[in-house]
Amino acid sequence: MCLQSDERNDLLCFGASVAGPLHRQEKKGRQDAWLAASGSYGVVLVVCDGMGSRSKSRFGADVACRAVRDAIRAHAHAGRAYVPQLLRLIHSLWSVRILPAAADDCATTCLFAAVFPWGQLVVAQLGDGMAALANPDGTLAFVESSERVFGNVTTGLGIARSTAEWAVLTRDVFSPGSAVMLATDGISDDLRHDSVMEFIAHVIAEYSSMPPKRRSRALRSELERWPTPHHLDDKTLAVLWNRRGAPTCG
Amino acid sequence: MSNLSRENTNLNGNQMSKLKEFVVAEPRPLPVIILADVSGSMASDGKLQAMNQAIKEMVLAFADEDDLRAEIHLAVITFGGRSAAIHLPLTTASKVTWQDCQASGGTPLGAALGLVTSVVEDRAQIPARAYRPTIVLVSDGQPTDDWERALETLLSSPRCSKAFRIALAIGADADEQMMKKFLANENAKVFRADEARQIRQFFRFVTMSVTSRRSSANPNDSPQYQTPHLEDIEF
Repeated sequence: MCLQSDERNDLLCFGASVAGPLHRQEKKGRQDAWLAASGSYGVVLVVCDGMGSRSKSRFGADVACRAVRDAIRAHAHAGRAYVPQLLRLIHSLWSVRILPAAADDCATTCLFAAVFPWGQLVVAQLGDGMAALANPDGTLAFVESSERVFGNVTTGLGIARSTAEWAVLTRDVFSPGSAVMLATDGISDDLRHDSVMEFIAHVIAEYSSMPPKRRSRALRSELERWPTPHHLDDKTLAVLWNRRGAPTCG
Repeated sequence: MSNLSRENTNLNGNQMSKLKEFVVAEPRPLPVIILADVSGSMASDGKLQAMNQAIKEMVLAFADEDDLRAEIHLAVITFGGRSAAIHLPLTTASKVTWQDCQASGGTPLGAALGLVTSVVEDRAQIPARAYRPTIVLVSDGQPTDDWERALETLLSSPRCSKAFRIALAIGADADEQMMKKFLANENAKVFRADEARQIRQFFRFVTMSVTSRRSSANPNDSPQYQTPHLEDIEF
């Protein structure tokens, strides 16, 4: 996926996605997808992990990315974020657009961050992975608590029966110097919990100032050399950073 | 900048990941926990000897696997006398030095179920990134303590309830109904061993099941097998 960035309002989005060793070995494409977009509706960043055992999981992940963007776009006139309605709209768009495929065949996790035109930040997560907000004071907020049972046991679009299964974090303002990181479980499962803030700071320091194409290549290359032994999963990492007032977190 | 570049280049001149300091250095664990009956009756007919030998062989087989998609961690909880004990704490299979179990006394299964529940629910011992554990119950008798409440707790706990469970009933006195309740799955069957050598065959089956999970696309998927008769397993 092409890197997309938005420099308006000092918000920068970037990310990368690579197939894991298992999919490379099996000559299958990755089942993760990500999208960054901006417009009059604000800025949106989406990361989805198509569930590996499903036949159309990559398709489901791609559709989910677009469904989130379009739901945000449709919601941008509301004046404030009505999160349950927004989530219901995402489910509805996704469910219609995957047809005639079965929802279960397209199941995917879905993580997104959106900054609306009125400045409000919404970060939401359905299923595995990590969505975290790094504040300029060095504190970190995880959208989902660590109540997860085991690796690769997850919910997602096509599985969840209620928007109550989403974990959501909202802020009235996406403060200067703040950053949101979205990552699929190929990354989050191997990240040391006490290093997440430093990891986000490293990614921003290392990649934010690069030209987009070079940044995309460099980040992909880094993810392909993921250092955890015997890792398998696809890896997708995306960052939304309010660079006004940099230097930032960490 | 030049120092940084040197630090990130290995002896072959390949660039190393800069992310090493942020990620865990161990593969994902795939825990296997054996609940081993070491009541006095296990000492007869070579049952305990066969179980010790079978576990020893299983440890060697786990340690010998080099296609690692996950790292097998093995624990053995024994129940005999009046209590249960951690005979082998969760340990990477390749680092296990097996010590034979000794048999004596009653069959305090409830204590063992309580112990395994506390181990599996402990995120310090089994992190969230671990694959679903396999719990193997091996017994030749009737429980002698309040096992039903302990089983209820196990089956309703968030993590233990999601573990794969396998059970072996040894001999005619084994409580097969209790084991069926332990499996809590109408499609799963209790294995039966009427002779000591079948205990070893059972553990070979467990070994095969775990290692096939480890090499599957998703080690959390249920092992695809029909419960075979132990005599039908070929190795």
